[in-house]
Order: sequence, then C-alpha cells, then structure tokens
Amino acid sequence: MPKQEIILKGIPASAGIAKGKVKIILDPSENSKMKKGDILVTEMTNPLFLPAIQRAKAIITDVGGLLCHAAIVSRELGIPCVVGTKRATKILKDNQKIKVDGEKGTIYQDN
Amino acid sequence: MVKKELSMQKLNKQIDILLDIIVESLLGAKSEEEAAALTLWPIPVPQGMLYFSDVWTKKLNRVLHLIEKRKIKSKEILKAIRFPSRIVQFLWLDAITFNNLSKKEKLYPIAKFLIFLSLFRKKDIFCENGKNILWNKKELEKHKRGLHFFSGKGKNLNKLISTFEAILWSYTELLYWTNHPFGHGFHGSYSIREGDLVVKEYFDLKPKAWSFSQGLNFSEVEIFEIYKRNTSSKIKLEFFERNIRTNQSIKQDLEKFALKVNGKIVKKPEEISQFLENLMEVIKKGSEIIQALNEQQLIEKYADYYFYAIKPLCDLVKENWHPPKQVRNNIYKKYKEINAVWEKVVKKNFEKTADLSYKQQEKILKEAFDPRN
Repeated sequence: MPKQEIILKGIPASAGIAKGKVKIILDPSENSKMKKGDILVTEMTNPLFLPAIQRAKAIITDVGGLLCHAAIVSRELGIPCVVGTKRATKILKDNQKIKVDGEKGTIYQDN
Repeated sequence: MVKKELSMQKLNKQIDILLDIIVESLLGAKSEEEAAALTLWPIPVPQGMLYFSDVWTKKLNRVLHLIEKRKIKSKEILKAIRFPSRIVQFLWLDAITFNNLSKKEKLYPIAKFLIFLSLFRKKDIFCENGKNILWNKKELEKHKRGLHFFSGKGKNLNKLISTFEAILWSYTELLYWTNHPFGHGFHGSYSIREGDLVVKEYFDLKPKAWSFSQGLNFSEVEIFEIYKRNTSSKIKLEFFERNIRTNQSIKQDLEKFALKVNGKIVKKPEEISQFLENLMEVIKKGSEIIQALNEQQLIEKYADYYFYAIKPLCDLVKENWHPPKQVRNNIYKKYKEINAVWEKVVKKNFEKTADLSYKQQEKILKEAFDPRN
C-alpha cells in the first residue's frame, strides 16, 4: 500500500481514525452546513458549535490544546480530534476528502 | 509566633505548588505560538478581570472575615459550598491576583480556600496520586444506595450517556464560560468491588443570571460511572479535576453507569433522551442570547456569575452576593479607560509571551499569578 501523504499536523487530542469530507465552519451561523459524517474544521470550538459537533465524525481546529472545548467534547463523544494545527482552516477546503488520525495528530488526503 | 511562621511557611509552599500547577496547565492547554488565556471563549479571562477583580476580592475578604468572626463551623461552611470545584476554580488565582490589592488581602482568601479544600479532599489538596477523593467508604455507600445501573457495554446506551455528558459539559461552558467548574465537579476514581468508580456532579444548571436556563427541567445531575478495573491508569484527575494526561477516550472501558437527576434515580434510558432533548432546546436559546451580546454586556455577565459563585459564602453571613454598583460603573462608564489598559498593555504583554521559550513563558506567568508579588 502506498504511504499516505501527511497534509497537516497538530496536537492529538482524541484518539481514533475517521474519514470524511471537510466542512469549514468559521462561525456558528454556518452550523447547518455540516452534514452527518462530515469532518468539522474550525478555528476553535465553543458551545455555540454544538449542532455542528453532534454531526461531526471528527474535529480539527487551528488553535487549542488538550484542555480546549473541542478536545474534551470529542473525547466524551469518542470521535477523533486534532487541535492546534495553526492553519487547518486555511489549508483544507470544503468537501475535500481527508483521513484524520487522532492518535498521531495527523491529517491525510483520502482519495 | 512560631505557629504563625510555620503556617506562613506551609502557605508559601502550597502557593509554590499551586503556581506550578497553574502555569503547567496554562502552557499545556495551548499549542505553540499561541498566547495563553487569549483564545478563551467568549472573552479572555484577564480582560474581564480588569473590571471587577479588585471589587470581588475585597467582597470575598469581607465575607470570609465575617464567617471567621461569627465562628461559623467548618462543617457548616463545607455544607454551604457543597461542591469543592467552586473554590478550586478560584484557585486559578486570576481574580485574586490580577489587581492592586495588598498582599494580605490576596493571601487571606487563598489560605482559607486551601483549608476548605483540604477538608473536602481528605487532606490531599493537590490530588497527588491522580485521585480526587471526596467521599469516604460510608459516604460512598450512602450515595450509591438504590442506584439503577445501566450497562455501558452496549453501543446505544454507551453513545447515549457519552452524548449526554458531552452536551451537559458544554452547557456548563455556555453558562459559566471558562469558569465551567462553577457548574460541575468530578471526583474519584474510587476503587470499589465492581471496578473503578468516577462521580460526575453537575449543579447550578439554572442560575438566575441567565433567563434561558430557567427552561431547563432539572438543575442537578449526578453521574456514577464504573470502569473496568485498572482503567484508572487512564483516569487521573488532577488539582483542577481534569483528566488531562491522556488523549484517549475511556468510554470504551465503561462497564456500567447510573444517574440521579434532581436527586431522583433515573430508571429508563428514555428519561435520559428526554433530558438531552430539553438540554438541546435550552442550549439553542442560550446560544442565540449570548451571540447577541456586545462586549460590555458579555463582561457584565462575566462579573454577574463570578459574584454569583460566592453566593453560598455570602448566604452564610446574610450578605448580598450581587456585584456592587462600582462594577457596572467600571463596565459602562469607565469602559474606554479600562479597555485601553486591556488593549494597549495587558493584551500586548500576553501576545509577546507567545514568541518566548517555555522557560521564559513559565517565569513570566508565575510572576503574574503570584499573589506574593
């Protein structure tokens, strides 16, 4: 199997692997963009993002560490989460297919 | 005299440990190139504190002195506080330290809180073994009596309780923002016959400061989770009651769980679903209300619930817990003046720390949080 290319790295905040389409949500008013099974990509989460989080298969954020909202909630929900990537919202594109490894803190292109 | 010096030595040692924990938490809670405390939702802690921390700390001093003067017994004080996570949150030292009050006014409440915490935590203030033990065997038995346990192994029930907890935890953040432990406290793990027990208590879920919270059908939730023996190697509760040393979800090791809502034992999973549904409705309403607030209103709310958090202590001496007029004046009449200090001095200083090494950041933060400076 060919080695997958890492497109982004961050802090592994909640273990697990998930594949899905990217949905970049910069403001809670965009929560409805998220469809069940999408991967939530945002600067940082807070309780206003809950409707999007509940539909997310994984979460990726630009900022934050092991104690941020995204990290704690995703560990409770048992979904992968990578935080502190610094530029996920800039590098990833809506509907891009990716693979998230919450154990290693890595994000791969998933063709 | 000797006794006084010894207790001062002890307090100094405890403050040193506390500063280590605070700084390690702040620096560990962020990624590189990020300034600690600036990314917090919805406003950075130091920004809010500029408007009320001196007034709050003075009030706290007065209330604690009154409690001492009236010789109110420790037992009664602990009963009033009920949940130690409330005072643990004050021991972040931000409100107590970020002001120009005297060293004496800063150290007095810290010393008192450490004494209360020592009583709550059976003398192990800093949870040195990764356990936050609040209940002895007898208390544990009393709380567990009659509970109805659900299996945590099945996918559906496991998902239901996981979702309920994630949403409940988020709700406390919606109410109390970065001070969410004003609405929850976690303790354990307790080694019991069936495995390792973790207790999660959610309280004050309908504070009067938020009208939207009144739509919630419950104000307290107790969750009892029993994990497979030895999962405790992954469950390590630290001083601030967080399980921070892992990125692993421990839910796959959940053997069984039970709930009490408003003190009533939950017997059917459908009840949990109903609580969840109600919670989501309230969160929706609350989110809309919070999103509509401007910066001054956000700071006013921040002050409101910070004062509300010392209500149990105020009630003991029949003091009004509400923020004094001076706080509103600071927010609405002196906003420009105080905001300039935030924008031009405090925020800038925090931003500068992001480029420094860990050691340098550690030194600056320790100095900033040290009440003895």
